[in-house]
Amino acid sequence: MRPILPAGWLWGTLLIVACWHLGQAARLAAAQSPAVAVPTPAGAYSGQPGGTQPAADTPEQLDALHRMEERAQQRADADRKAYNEVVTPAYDFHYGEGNPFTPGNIQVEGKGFIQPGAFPTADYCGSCHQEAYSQWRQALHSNAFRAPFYRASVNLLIRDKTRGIAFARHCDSCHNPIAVLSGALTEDSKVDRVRFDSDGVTCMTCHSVVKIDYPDGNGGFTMGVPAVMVDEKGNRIPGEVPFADIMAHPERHSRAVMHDFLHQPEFCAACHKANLPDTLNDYKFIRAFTTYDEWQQSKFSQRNPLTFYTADLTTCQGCHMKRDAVVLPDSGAKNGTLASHRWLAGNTAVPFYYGFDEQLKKTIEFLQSGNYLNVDIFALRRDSDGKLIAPLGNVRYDLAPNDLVEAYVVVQNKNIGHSLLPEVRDLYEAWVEFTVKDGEGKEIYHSGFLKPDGMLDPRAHSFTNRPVTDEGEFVDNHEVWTIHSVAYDNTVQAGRSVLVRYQFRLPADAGENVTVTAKVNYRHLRQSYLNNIFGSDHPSYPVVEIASRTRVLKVGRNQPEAPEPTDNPDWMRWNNLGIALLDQLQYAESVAAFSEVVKLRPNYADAYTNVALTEIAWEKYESARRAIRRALSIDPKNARALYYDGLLQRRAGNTEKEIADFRKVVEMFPDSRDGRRELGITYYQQNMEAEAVEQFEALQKIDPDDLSAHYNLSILYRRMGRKKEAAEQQAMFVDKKVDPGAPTYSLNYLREHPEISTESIPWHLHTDEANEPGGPQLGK
Amino acid sequence: MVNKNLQAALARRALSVIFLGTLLVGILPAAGAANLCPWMNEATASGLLGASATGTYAAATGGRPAVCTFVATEPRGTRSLTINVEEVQDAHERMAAVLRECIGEASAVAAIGNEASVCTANERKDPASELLAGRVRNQVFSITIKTTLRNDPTMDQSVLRSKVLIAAEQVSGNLF
Repeated sequence: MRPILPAGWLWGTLLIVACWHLGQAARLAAAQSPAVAVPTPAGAYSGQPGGTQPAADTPEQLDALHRMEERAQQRADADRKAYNEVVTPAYDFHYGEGNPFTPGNIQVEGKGFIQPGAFPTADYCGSCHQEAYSQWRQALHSNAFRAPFYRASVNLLIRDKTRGIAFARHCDSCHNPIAVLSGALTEDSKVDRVRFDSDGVTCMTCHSVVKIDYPDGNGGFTMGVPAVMVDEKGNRIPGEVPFADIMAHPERHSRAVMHDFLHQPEFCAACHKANLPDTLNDYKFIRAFTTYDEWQQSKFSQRNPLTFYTADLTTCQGCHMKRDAVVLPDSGAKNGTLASHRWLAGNTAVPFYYGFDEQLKKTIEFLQSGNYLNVDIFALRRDSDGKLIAPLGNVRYDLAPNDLVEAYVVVQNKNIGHSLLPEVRDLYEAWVEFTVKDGEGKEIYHSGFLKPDGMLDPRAHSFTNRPVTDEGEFVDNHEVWTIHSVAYDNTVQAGRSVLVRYQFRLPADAGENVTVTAKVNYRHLRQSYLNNIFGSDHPSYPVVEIASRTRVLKVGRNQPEAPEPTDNPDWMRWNNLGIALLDQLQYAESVAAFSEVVKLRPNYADAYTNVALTEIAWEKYESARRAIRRALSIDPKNARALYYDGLLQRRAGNTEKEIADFRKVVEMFPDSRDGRRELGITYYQQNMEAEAVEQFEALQKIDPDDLSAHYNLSILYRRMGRKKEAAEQQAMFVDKKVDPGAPTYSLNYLREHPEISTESIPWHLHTDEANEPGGPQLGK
Repeated sequence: MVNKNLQAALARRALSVIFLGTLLVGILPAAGAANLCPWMNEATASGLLGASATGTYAAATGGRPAVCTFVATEPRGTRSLTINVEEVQDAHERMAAVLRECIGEASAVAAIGNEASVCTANERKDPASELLAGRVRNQVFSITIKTTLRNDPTMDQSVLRSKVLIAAEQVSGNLF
């Protein structure tokens, strides 16, 4: 009888299996390693002198280039194929093989996953770009994945019982793109993560993007096969190449890694715009943040005619990638300067955690520079007579001991190209700290203090929000997939202002003076989130004062005083008050404030337009018409005035004038969302379907999530027999429209948190007086 | 005769089954069986150890820490990476206890977990070994990376030190 399993057969099988595994392991290792091992040169490359043309290739050089290109291409293809043979079978295609990266929007050129080794490392780039490398290493992009502030949140998603690591593709499409594109985000991953986790958004992620997809964020871009060199015809040569080849032809290097879109805001939008799709939350589309749209709607884009103020065109890169003098050698420097790869913004937590002192210092300097905010202690109102004393500094007034006083603090988002606070305002924290002290420095009133445990005064006026679950609980840990509603959102959009009112009583023994100070403080991150990450025994994270204003009030007669250099002119102070009151639905007071601007600047067309737009909101159409006619008499081509005139002409039934107004607006501002929308509505109402479709399609190109575009296109397409497109638009409208049940979730939260409930009301007062709404009984 | 033949056949079958079982046990991990270590996968450990590594995971039980062990076997010896994780009441005390394995002073490491320290470990049998102990909240973790190869051509003490730091970033990141 023969043995049932001959040893020879077993050993043969074993050998075959072993060889196969060894081969696979070797291929996998090769695929995860750089295609070409390039030693790091000792010194940095110095670029050719400006204007110098590279020498023309000799036939021998061209031949060598083509041989290198052929080898590189073959190697890249073979590595990718071998890599996919190992990685693909183990990968969880949760949303089908055609959607390997869903819920993220990221895509990659070519077939299958791309091996991490295809991406030249930051160290490789840093050999010649030492300045950019050193800045990037301390910046947010390089730490986008590894920082605990991110990991703590994404780990919750990975550990979520009904989701798991496959769903982290949504977050990591922007925080760790190579992990997503290499197929590392799956249970039982076969991918060595060391190569990319520590570098987050590395050099060759941004510099390998070949296409910006529909501006819908969530990683809306297509990654090319990374290349640092093209041939003489512009064909990309994949992987790392010897430095000598780059040095011989830096223009070919530049052509491979630099694209015009790197300078455009839409490139930033690919990640600095995010939504929570139903593929993530199993609920519906929820807007997460729209920094790009906020910029597009701001004065800095020059694409929106309806802004309250105007400014020079400034892109995202214009603020966050300003050119700085280089300290370290960098072949990308021009005239000794380089576009900053620090991307200075508001994140003080990452440099604080990693001990990047220079980045932290520069971040604080950035936050405190640029005249981003204006804080104005604009007015007082004595409770005894109710009269508004304004604008402070320009008027005489009297105060007496025991007076109950209300202070108007106007905070203007003056020169930020997006909201205050942008993006995840459930984690970041900015707030107004308001203090009143007597002549001896004794505190009379204090709002916006930090408690000994680091938590913010719960009754502070903060520029944050409170996303809540379907149980009405605050989403404290940034578990965004559980968000069903937002209980309040106290952001200040770009160019707008907010009025924060504080009430305090002057003591009987206040002395001669009291000092009133209003500050806007900022910290990254909210204390309870830091506690969630580290436990409560972590060091205090930095609090940065972004802007402040102090006024000394005399108990007795107060005389006018000279303004400080950072103060706005009086017309702008009134204007900002008007804007703030408009946003707080105080229309009569807003019109009164804008009317003060008219008095101070009678030839300023926008002053009348501001009166008019407030009166339109207030439904005072006749007086609005008078104001807008005045604005147009001063500036007949004023797009902003024409827009509001269009609205008024519509109400009056003057369709031809209405169309003429809106057409002028979109001619002057083709990217005006409001102009496109209103012109589309006008055409729709006139049964001019083709024209209406043109406007709504244009609107959808500007903002793919615009609800009015989805709604109207769904109807218009159906009328035109385009049923499939109509159904798509209808589906998008239904998905993106706010859930009518969502306010219930917010109410559940607000009932439990009266201090936040007060903040959720636009017109509210901060006071310690026990008998006032918003008094100290809240927030206990 | 029949019985002897049958016995021999059964013995051969038993041996074959045992052999097959042994083979399967050996082959399965390499064939990609699920590695249950929550803080590091085999591919990452293999990269750190410079050779294909096999991982095992023992969950925490009865006050004992959870342990992931990755072993890469080379012709002249083995390299291994061990990760211990436990939740404790007094994390500082536990970290101090772990660091008693150090030869000399442990050095504090910035930006790993809440805090971390690294040192050369007192591994009597092994020529080179590095130990890192750290914590994330009240979770204390320790990572030991070592080689039994004398004069390991690719893993001298400084390389081991850099590898243990890389491993620590992976592990602490997953513990947050």
